[in-house]
Amino acid sequence: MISFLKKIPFVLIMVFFISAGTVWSGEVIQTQESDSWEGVEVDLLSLKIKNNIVTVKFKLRNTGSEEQRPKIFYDSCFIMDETNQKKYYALKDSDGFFIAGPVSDENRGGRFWFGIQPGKSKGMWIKFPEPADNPETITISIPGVFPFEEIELKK
Amino acid sequence: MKSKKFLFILLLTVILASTLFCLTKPAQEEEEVVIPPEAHKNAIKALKALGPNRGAKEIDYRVVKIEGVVLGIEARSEEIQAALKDLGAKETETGYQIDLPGDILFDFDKWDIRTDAEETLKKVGEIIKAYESPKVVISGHTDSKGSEEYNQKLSEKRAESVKNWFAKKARINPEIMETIGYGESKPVAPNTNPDGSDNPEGREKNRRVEIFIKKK
Repeated sequence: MISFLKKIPFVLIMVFFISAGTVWSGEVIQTQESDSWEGVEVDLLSLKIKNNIVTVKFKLRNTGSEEQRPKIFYDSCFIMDETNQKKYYALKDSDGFFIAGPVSDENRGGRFWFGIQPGKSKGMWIKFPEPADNPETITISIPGVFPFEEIELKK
Repeated sequence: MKSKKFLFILLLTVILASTLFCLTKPAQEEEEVVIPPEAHKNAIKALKALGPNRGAKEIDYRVVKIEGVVLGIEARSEEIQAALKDLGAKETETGYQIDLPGDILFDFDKWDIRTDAEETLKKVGEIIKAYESPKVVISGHTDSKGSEEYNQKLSEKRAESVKNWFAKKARINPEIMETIGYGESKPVAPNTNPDGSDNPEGREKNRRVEIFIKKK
């Protein structure tokens, strides 16, 4: 019995490190599949609000066996406040370019059009206005990807 | 004493393994999403310019749905048009004709598809799928070097090889594809010069695979 009790701290330490390892390996808020590019999955990595601006970060992963070239026009990305029936498009700078990245070219104010090899990923970020009516959740819409629904807005 | 030492070593191993796992895993699989420092300042300016409603637009679900469909079609169409242009496709009333040089698709005297030709065939496959073509005719042609019989067989094998690639790699229904081997019977350029000497440029043009993609 004493020997069993002696083992408890050791087991607790192991559980701590294993769970910590899982958390540190990269937690995602939500993952959605693409309906346009075979094997592409998109992770919503983070959503931060500062100065009434919502910054979202994504990771596009190619889980398929062939290279995929997702083409995402930033002018077609928006967030929806479904409670108040409003949508907000990505912010544009004074030159008319979307405040988002990475940008492959300036077509329609900037777009994401990069090749992703099988097993590889590519990051993407976009800045949106924070919905004016302070909803608790939003839906993020990225063309070619199923919507990220019920995403909590936490300051 | 021995058991204490064993426990200590085990604990140390677990700590080291966990630390290594945490440090190495993200570096292998994740690419850092870097936001330029000026982006947030620009965003603040942009937000101010939008006024109190922050650019909000009323949601019309019918419009959102149609917009999504149209954008998808537009993006797809742009890619297909680019592929048709890259491949030098000729549009006819009934379909598209794409001529692929034999030297790009195959090695000398072989009928296996070269690995570096796959990108070209992939584009053709995308066009076939985009137009939902009901029929694709793949015809093989050779130059006049070698016997007629040999060239006939080589052209048939090459056309068949292209068909198999489309079926296997581009997942195109084999039933809509038809192959024909013309051997050396349909040259597009002279195989010899007027003085009877060899015409390597002409022969190169004759070694080809023609793909006809019938419109729906």
